[in-house]
Amino acid sequence: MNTQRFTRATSGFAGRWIVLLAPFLAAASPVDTSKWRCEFCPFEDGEVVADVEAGSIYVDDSAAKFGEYDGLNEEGSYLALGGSAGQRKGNGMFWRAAAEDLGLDSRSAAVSAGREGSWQVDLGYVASPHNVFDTTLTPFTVGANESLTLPSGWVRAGSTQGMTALNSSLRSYDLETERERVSLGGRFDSSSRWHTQLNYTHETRDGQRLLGSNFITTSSQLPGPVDFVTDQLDWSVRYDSAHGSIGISYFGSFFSDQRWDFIWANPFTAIAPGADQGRSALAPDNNFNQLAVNFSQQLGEAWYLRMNGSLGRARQDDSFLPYTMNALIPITPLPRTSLDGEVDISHFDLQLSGNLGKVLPLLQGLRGKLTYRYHERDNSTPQADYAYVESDTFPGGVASNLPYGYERQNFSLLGEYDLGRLLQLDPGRFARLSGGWDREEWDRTLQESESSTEDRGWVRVQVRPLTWLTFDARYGAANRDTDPYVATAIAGAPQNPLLRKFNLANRERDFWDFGAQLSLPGDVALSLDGFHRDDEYVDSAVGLTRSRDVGGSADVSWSVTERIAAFAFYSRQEITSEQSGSQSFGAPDWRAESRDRIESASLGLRLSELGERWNVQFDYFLMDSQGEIEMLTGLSAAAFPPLNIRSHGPRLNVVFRATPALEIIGNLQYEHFDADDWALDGVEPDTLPSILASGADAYDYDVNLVGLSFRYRFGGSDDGEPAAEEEEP
Amino acid sequence: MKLPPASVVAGFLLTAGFLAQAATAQETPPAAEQSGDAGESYSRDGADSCIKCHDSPEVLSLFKSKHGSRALAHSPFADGELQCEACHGPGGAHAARIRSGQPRPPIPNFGANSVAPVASQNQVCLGCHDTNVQHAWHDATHDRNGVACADCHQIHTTHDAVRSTREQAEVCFDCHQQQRADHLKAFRHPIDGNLMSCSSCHSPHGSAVDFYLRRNSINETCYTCHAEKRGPYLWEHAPVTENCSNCHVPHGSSQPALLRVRAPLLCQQCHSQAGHPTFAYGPDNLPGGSQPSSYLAAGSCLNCHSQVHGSNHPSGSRLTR
Repeated sequence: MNTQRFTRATSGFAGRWIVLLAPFLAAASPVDTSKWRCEFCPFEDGEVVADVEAGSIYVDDSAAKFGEYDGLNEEGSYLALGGSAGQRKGNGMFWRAAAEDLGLDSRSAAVSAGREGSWQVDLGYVASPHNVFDTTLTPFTVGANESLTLPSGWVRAGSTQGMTALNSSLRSYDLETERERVSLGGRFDSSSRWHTQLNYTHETRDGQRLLGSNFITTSSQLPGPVDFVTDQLDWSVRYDSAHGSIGISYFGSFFSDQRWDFIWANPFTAIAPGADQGRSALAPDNNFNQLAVNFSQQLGEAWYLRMNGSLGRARQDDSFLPYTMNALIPITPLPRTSLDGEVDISHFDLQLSGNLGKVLPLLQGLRGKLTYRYHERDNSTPQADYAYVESDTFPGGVASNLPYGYERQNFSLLGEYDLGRLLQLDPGRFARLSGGWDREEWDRTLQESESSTEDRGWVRVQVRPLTWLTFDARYGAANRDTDPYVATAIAGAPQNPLLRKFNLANRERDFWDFGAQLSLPGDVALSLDGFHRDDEYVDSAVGLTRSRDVGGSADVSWSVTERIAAFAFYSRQEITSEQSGSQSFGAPDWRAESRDRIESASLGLRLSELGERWNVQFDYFLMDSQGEIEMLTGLSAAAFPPLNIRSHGPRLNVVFRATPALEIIGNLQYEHFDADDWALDGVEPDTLPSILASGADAYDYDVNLVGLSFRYRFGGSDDGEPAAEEEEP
Repeated sequence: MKLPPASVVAGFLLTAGFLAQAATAQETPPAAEQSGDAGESYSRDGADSCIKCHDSPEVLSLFKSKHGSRALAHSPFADGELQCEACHGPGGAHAARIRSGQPRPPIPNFGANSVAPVASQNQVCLGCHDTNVQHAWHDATHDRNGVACADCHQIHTTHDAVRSTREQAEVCFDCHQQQRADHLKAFRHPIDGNLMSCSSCHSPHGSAVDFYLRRNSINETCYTCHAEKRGPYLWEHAPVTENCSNCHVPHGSSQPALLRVRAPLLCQQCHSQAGHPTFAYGPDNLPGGSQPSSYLAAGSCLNCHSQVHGSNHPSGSRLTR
């Protein structure tokens, strides 16, 4: 049979049937994937894929700031050790393990296992140091009960210059803390609709931090203990419907300070008899339990509704220390043995967003969003009068604790109109006009201002007039009014009635920001941003009167080829704050202006799979910060020495694939950092007569780093790709 | 009117059906395509059609991730699913034979170089990821600003950088330039290590809280890592209980301890009690100056008032104990 003649003969006849039968045909014949064998698809078949990396890192100088968070703070060699392994089977079962930087203080390891789409269990460990200052000195040693004691032969004096045994007693100590966090968690998807997640973390943080410790007008900077344990539990259950979800969750935080107090000997001549030792309370144990419900629902075609509500309670009930450890001060009974502190945190938010054009065709192109948020800190901690002792020296008076609480409400309305339809813009171009109004209301207890209201309005234009050019500009203003401001006495010392605390004060704010993105020929992308924020505290005669934050940045990225990419970034920012003070407890008689100018820049180059073997990453960064503080007193002006910080350095990482399984990794890095800080420069332990300082210096270093390691891969294909990693940040 | 016999009617209908199928078959598009709904054409062999050309390691990396899993019921490569075309759309025309010189019909791709509208791209992802991601995403800032899922996420890879604690910040910095600049400042959070990243504090898919924080407030977010500051304390420092960012700048600062302004000026913005809190400290009060002061150098106010976040000591009303 001649198919074509048959077709012509029958098509007209059959065509009528096609019209009649088309709906049936369409419904009866979805895409037929039965022949889609995926023969060329390289599914994982249960092969174990692993890699091990081992090598060494050498740092040629010690610098706490250089190794602030990764532990490379000491001159010397470090072991670079890590690796990963994993297996994915055809039935969905998988396991993964990874370890990184095992030779460093910033080491981590993680193991996951489960069945894809069904359940997963995760076990993780991460350690993170925080190194501060290169040299910190103290004459103290740790004595009985972990108190800080002075060496035998110590000579007390009224000033540090008189401490004749000081310099010979000084020893250096490390000012660092280390966090270690172990986490155990999992998720279970019992169906496509039900999801359960549970995560437990146990974190310890120990080390030393700088703690100021005074006796009236003399003070010492001491190595204070850090010995924290925090356990947290996150649990949630969620049900997803076709157009919404509902879930409940629990969060618990349990903090314990393994040290209750901190005792130190007075290195100065006691101002009053018996003031030979001081004792501070360290952070009390606390716990926080919170239950939350969240709900979201798509309402028809046009609306989305989201709600979230939570109730939480923070508790703290550590036993009080006595008023003083000065045995010569008469014992005064405490009004209570512990705080029995309790704060209830309530939160509720509701968000309704809609595409109004789907509700009323006349409003085509208009979208809106209405948000309401309520947040309350209800502090029901008992109040009492405390007959305090001034720094273990002499009775001070009576003060009542102030359990602060607040309610905060936010109302927000946002509208966005798509001008593209009106202007009949071609696809790929758009123009949008949006605007919004927010109101924030505060109600506070036990503070100078009981309530405040801030209204903020803004407008924004986003335009893409050409497919390669996008503009974005926003302007807004806000005005905050507070209730009459009533100065509050704190521990018997009244505030200047003209002072306005900036978070409670009347404020006028205006802000604008703009951005432009250009996609240029040759795969070049250019981005320009700028912003300006200006706050004026219009009724603050004393206190913060104005703050400004102005800046801009430019970023360019260039995909030279598929395998070569380059980018550059520059930013400049100026942060200014102006404030007034009064030495006469009256009208302002001095002003201060603090200004930080920060410039930063970075360059980068990426070479991928050059010659099928080389991967190169080169980065260079620069940061230059200049801080100025000027004091104006009467008619005279005096400027502090500049607070300059400069840092820059290149970083090179090269990976060479010697064989499909073996990679050689090289790292080179240089970093320069220097800072001028008048608070630290030249301030030795005995520089200030009444402060036994730590002698810490501002950061100043030049460090070179060289690293060489080898990574060997086991299993897997020759595509050079390791096993999939899906670690959750 | 006499009705035709049932057998004739049945035969007629069967013949008509056969002819309709035949006509439809003749009208079937060229070999690489098959009909779907709405007139779109899918490929004949699914992923095998695509991999014939797209067989680079980058593309095939998909099969080492969940998107390339056969076992995961909702994966594009599960039984009966549309494989590559589940995301990239019908590929029949794209995979079909073309005449010499004729441009190959494009197939939707994702990311910065895609010609498809962002909303269309995202709808593909949200069609499957229709859980809490979609509900949070809708009308969130990233959504309203036209951020595509593929602007942050990489699918054809064994390593999605935005989901790596160490590398996430670089992805965010592509757009958040000011935060990149903040991260280069002298004092900052360690968001480029193994401990934390941007999403430790922020929910990039959206949330109803200011700044898309993970917890209900700035303070609750900070207490996740700084639980020792939660209290409640016997002697509270009021601005601390309201908002940590009253004093601190979490993304980075030129001032130690991520402060907005250094002491004593920061403290003097709120404290005006007669005596040392109100002195106009100037350069003459520095060590070596004409009137060196103990309230300026070293830790400044914190030389004595070290319990600035609150004190639980009965004699700690001045935050010195």
